[in-house]
Formats: sequence, structure tokens, C-alpha cells
Amino acid sequence: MWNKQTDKRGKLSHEVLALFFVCLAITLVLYIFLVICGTAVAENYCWEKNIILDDDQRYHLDVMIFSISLAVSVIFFIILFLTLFGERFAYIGVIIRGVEVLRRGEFGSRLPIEGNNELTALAEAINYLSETEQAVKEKERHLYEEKEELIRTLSHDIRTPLTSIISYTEFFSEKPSCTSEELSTYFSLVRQKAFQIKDLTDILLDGGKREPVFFENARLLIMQIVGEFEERLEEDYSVSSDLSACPDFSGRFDVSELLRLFDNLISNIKKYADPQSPVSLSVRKCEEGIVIFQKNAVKSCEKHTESYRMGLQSIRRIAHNYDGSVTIRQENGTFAITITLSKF
Amino acid sequence: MLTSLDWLIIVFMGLAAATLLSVCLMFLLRNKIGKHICFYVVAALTLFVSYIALYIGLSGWFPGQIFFGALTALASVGAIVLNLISKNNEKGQRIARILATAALIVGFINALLI
Repeated sequence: MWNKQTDKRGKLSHEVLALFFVCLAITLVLYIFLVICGTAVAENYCWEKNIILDDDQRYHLDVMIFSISLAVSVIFFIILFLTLFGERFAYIGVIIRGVEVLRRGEFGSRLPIEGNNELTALAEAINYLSETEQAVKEKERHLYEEKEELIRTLSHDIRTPLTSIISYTEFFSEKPSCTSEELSTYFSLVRQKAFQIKDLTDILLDGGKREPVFFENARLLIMQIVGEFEERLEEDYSVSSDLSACPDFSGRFDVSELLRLFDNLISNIKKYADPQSPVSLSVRKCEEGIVIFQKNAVKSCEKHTESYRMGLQSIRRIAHNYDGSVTIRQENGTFAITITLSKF
Repeated sequence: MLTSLDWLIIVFMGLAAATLLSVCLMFLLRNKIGKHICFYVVAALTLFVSYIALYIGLSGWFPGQIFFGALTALASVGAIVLNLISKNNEKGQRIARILATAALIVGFINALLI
């Protein structure tokens, strides 16, 4: 677009030449005017004063009128041309100052666009470069922030299975004797959590690469995850889940993402939910997609830590991967979160 | 030694050149400050030629010259006022410039060429 515009530009040399001829034409008009009017004024003066000039005096008067007219016209031309020419070239100074500003890294500033010549094209090119550079910087900053957020949320998500492993091993070390069946169950759990950590670190190393898998009946997957959700909370909470509004459906889901999403919900419930009140979870299918709704009462006098927001941020990020949204409502001691997964 | 005729011609030519220069610059300059300066120069020149016209008119009692002298002086003051009140109005400033130019040309003809 910028190149096409430059093709239509007038040349600076043509502009200067045009300026020169305009000034010359005005000066010529002035010269003629001065000669004619100067002669008329002189004759009128002589006529009023009854002065009769002889040939020699007339010759001298004419020479004087021509000379003064010429001198005045030359001075007029120099002043007019230099002023207008200087004004056109003062734009170079504006461009130089603009480039200096850009060199200092202030990419937000723009050069004023004046005229329609090579200098205008230069100013536009500098503005274009400045805009491009600013866009690149902005994109870089955005990518950096996204990466930072990914690292933060994944680090937070890694902590959940890690805490489980620590709890299991502590429980193990404190328990005097275990049956082989118990041992096998605990090992299986620890192994499962360790693999979860591995998956998360893989995601971290791949820079957040997703691996969605197609499920012919994704309701079964949701049922399984919700079942696990209930199982992990039922010891401390009265959990009720509702999948009645969720018919069979198919879609592509990244299982580890869904697990992380529910892990974060569980983690938040364990930290902040009141064990005396029930925890409810419902999953329903609607036009917008899958809507996961979870509600619980909040423990009184509970001070929310930094990880509270991190968990929700992680949920928000996962929902974003499915073009979805997260709505949180917290009022009258009740916490409610609605997660919508739209594209799968 | 310059005679009064020489002085008359020099003053006339100087004024004519200054008039044309300030008018040309007022319309051709892109710089707003430059335009403003030229406008005030034009207005000042108009007042000066109006003064000359009134002086000549009153000394010889030429009613036409007095009338046009007063008219161009008023037009010049009007142009200054219009320029001052339309600081951010480009159209108003353009009208003020045209008014000042017209007053200067009429004033110049009235003072020196009639």
C-alpha cells in the first residue's frame, strides 16, 4: 500500500522548480507594476508641481525608476523564494528529530505528514517502520506474558499431584504395617500422580502443546472424571453430581487438560470449601457447548492465598483452549463457578 | 541628494514590494506561525496606508479618499478582531486573511495611486 502511494508522488526537484518559477512570475509582475506605477507617480507629481523635465532629467528619472524597481524586485524575489524554499526544507529537520526520537526507542511517536514529495514518502516510510517495530514489540511482550502465565499455571498444577505424592508417602511412612493390597493401591496412586507430573512437565517443555483425542462418546469420559471428582472429595464433603442434562456427545478433548481442570476445582474445594455444607457439581450440554457448574459454601475467616487465583487462572486458560469462558460468582458465603467449553 | 520625488518613488516601491511580499507569504506559507506573522504585517500595512490616505484626504479635503481611508482602516481592525476570535476556526481565519488583503490593496490604491 505504501509503495503504491510513493509511485504517485511528485518529485521534490519539480516542486522546487515550480516554486522558483512562481516566485519569478510574481517578481516579474511586481517589477512591471513598479515601473509603470513609479513612472505614473513621478509624472503625476511633476504635473501637480508644474515641473517640466528636459530629456536629460527624464532619462535620469527613468534610469532611477528602472534601477530601484529592479533592486526592489530582486530583494523581493530573494526573500520570497528563500522563505518558501526554507519552509519546504524545514521538513527535513522535522524528519531528523522524528528519527532521533525513534532511535531512543519511543516507537509510539509519529512524524507529521506534510506535502506530497520524496520527503513525505520518507516520513511515511519511517512511520511505517515505527508502527511495524511497535507491533513486533507488542507481539513479543504478549508472547512473553503468555509464556510466563503458562509456566505459572502449570507450575501450580504440578504442585497438586506432587502434594498428593507427599501425602501418600508420609502416610506410608507413618503406618506401621500395610497389606500387599494396600501397598499395591498406594503404589498405583503414586505412580498415577507421578505420570501426571510427567505429563505436565512435558507440556511445559513443549511450550503448552496440546494433544486432543477424538471421543466417540465423550459423556463417558466426563462421567469418569466426575466419578473421580466425587471419590476424591467424598471423605470430607457431601458431594452431589448431576449429569442428567448431559446426553451422549462426541468431541476432541485433551484428557490431561480436563483432569487438570477438575484437579484445580478439587484443590480449591479442599482449601476453601466449608466441609459442613454440600458441594455440588453439574455438567450439562447446551447450544454453547458443555457447561460445568460447581458450587460450594466458603469456609468462614478463610484468607485466600496467591494459589487461589492461580488455580482459577489455570481453569480459565483451559477453558480458553476450548473457546470457552469462566464465570465466577461469590456472594453470601457461596462460591459458584461456571465453566463453558464451546469448541471441541 | 535625493529630492522629494525620489523619496516618493522609493517609499511607493518599498511599500508596494512589502505589500505584495506579505500577501504572498500569508497565502503561500504552510507554517501557521508564519501565516499569523504575515497576517499582522498585512494588517499593520493596511493601517499605515489608511493613515496616509486619511492624512492626504484631510489636508486637501478629498471626501472620497477620506471615506476609503476610514473604510480600509475599519476593515483592517475588523480582520484583526475576526482573526483573534476564530483561533481554532480555519474558515474564520481565512476570511480574516482575505479581508485584510482586500483592505490593503484598496488602501494602497487609495493612498498612492489615485
